Amino acid sequence: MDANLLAKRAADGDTAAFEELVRMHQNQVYTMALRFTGSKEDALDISQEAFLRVWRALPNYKADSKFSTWLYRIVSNICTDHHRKNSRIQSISLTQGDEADDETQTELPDETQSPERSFELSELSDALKGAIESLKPELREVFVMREIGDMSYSEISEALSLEEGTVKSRLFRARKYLQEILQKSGNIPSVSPSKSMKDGDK
Amino acid sequence: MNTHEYYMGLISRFVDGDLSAAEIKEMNEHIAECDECREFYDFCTAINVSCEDAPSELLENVMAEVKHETLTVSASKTRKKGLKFWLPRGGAAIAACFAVILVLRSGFMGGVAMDSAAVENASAPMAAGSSASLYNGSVKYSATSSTAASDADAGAIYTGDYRVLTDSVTEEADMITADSAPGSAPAEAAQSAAPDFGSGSGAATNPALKTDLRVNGTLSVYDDGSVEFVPDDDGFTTLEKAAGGSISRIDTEMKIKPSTGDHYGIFTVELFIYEPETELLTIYLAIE
Repeated sequence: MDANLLAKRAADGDTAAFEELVRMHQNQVYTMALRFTGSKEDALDISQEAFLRVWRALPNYKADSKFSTWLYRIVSNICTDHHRKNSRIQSISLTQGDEADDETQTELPDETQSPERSFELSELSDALKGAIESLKPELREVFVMREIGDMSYSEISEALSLEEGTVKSRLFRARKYLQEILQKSGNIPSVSPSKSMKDGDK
Repeated sequence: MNTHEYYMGLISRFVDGDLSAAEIKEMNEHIAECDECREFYDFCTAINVSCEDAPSELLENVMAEVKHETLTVSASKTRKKGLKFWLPRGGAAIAACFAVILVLRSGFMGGVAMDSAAVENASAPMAAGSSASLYNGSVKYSATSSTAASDADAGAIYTGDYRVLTDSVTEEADMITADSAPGSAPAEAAQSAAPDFGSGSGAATNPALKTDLRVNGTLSVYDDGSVEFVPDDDGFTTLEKAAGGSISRIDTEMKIKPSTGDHYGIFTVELFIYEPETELLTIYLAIE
């Protein structure tokens, strides 16, 4: 059944319709949150919070945009808040000279991977996941929405209140960064010299 | 923007299906001659960020909370003077969607024929009364519950229908499962599907409990471990009729049994609906 129709029913208090909505979107939401945070525990918390926010806001939901666009915007907002909180915690730790610094660094792709391996990213999923998590948040959210949420430029633009040109630019920068970091780590071969990109800096 | 960046921008848009036919042709002509852009093309077209399977507790937890919130809204309309109970520590940590089976045991017993736990808990009121009746029967109740971490005042509220399905049946026979929402159609269906024990052989002496008894109310479990059962107005009247007089107290004991999972528990609530002069109605409420 169409997600927007289910959303309308759920807005009228139909919990079965809402359950179906959760079933339909839970893997995307969870994966988006996982790619944002890199933590299964945090991803679960964020996913739950996102669906509950949606449930509570459903009575005010206007079906003039796709349900998934609305949902992923909420996921993105929660992830952004989560990142801010974590950044604050990390900043405090650094100020205090805490040894947690090493633990809070994003794990980069495994550098022991052979450069000669097949160019099948499905085999490099772990490395790719790590690379995605090292993207700057503004690039990561756009990339995750596109690749995991399968959202169009206009949907991402609407969800994040960005110009479509900005969305395209960020997607390009995200992909370029991912390619470079996976080349540096040897997870994909490189026949041409790569230029350093700073878009992965958090 | 240098040449490579321009074409890589095209490639990035190509994988998103954003290029016109002319742009695709332009891109293809370039990557046929440029290794760097060809690499980027290969990379972008090979990216496959597969979805992870969400853990099962995501759906469970969300729906438990959703149903709880739905019930809380309903319960907040019926809450009134509370009757406080207590349950062991840990009980309030249960966040689950569960079915409740409530069993009424019947039999005129003159203050004797009660389960030991019931006797123990009823000893004080029994001392004041001259007789008591214990009724057999089953009440089906289903509810959704969750600890309300964000609203310490509201706590976790369970609410639903309490309905005596029958009397004079064995405890085992009373165990009829239900997983529907309170007052919902499935609960009604389960009720009609229950065996007809209306003419059972129990020694029930209170005629009111030989017929179906439906008590609507709110069972609330709070973060501090206390439990509160508040029948709604009609439910309260029904209980008073069933008890044969005014109800001065509703009491309970909640026992937590080993859980089937971190968020699921089986526990028993014994509600003592006490009329000091003559009646003692003991309700065993098993939640699983």
